[in-house]
Amino acid sequence: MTGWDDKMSGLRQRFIDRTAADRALLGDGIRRDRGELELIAHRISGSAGMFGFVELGTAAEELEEAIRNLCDESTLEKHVMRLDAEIDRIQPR
Amino acid sequence: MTDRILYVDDEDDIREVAVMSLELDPAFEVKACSSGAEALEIIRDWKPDLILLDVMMPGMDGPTTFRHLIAEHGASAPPVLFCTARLQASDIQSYLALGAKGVVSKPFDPMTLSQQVRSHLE
Repeated sequence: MTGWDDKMSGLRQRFIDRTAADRALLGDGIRRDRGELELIAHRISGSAGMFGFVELGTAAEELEEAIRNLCDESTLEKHVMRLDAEIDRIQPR
Repeated sequence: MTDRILYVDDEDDIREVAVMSLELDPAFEVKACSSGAEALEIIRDWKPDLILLDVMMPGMDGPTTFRHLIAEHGASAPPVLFCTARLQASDIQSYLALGAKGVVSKPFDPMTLSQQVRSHLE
């Protein structure tokens, strides 16, 4: 399984890097654009669990769900902040 | 005997992990693509035994791709498993009512996806 493990490790790292880029978008005030936010949340919610980032996946799923349910601004902000914190947790120190 | 599996998903990360996971079964011959239109094109020349089809894709989504598949191939269309992150009982019922063989929840476990798919072929 070494080849498999190596490849998974590479994909996991690519996911971490992409998610860091998504985090920068969250910080750029994209939170006003719910469509873009939903796309980011959808991408993360579908992938994070495969790489072992269960909490991150849950935070993304809850944000996605809140947007689909037309949540208010303070609820949206709360979910964006949680997603931001979970993305921060998976970044290498 | 080899079973041909086609995996359709617009997300690179998920698609690549899915292909690796499915290839853990040595009897699977796997192809993947990133859109419904591409999938319909592939199926014309390479008939899969089963298709894993993401529900939420830009352009042609999974259910629309499925309807095109049935319109083009009728009863000889390969069986389809829909892949979706949002799985509630009502969602599952609506996909089965469309004619899907089953539903796979995302994110999937890379170590067990091939077994899950295999169970739908038996």
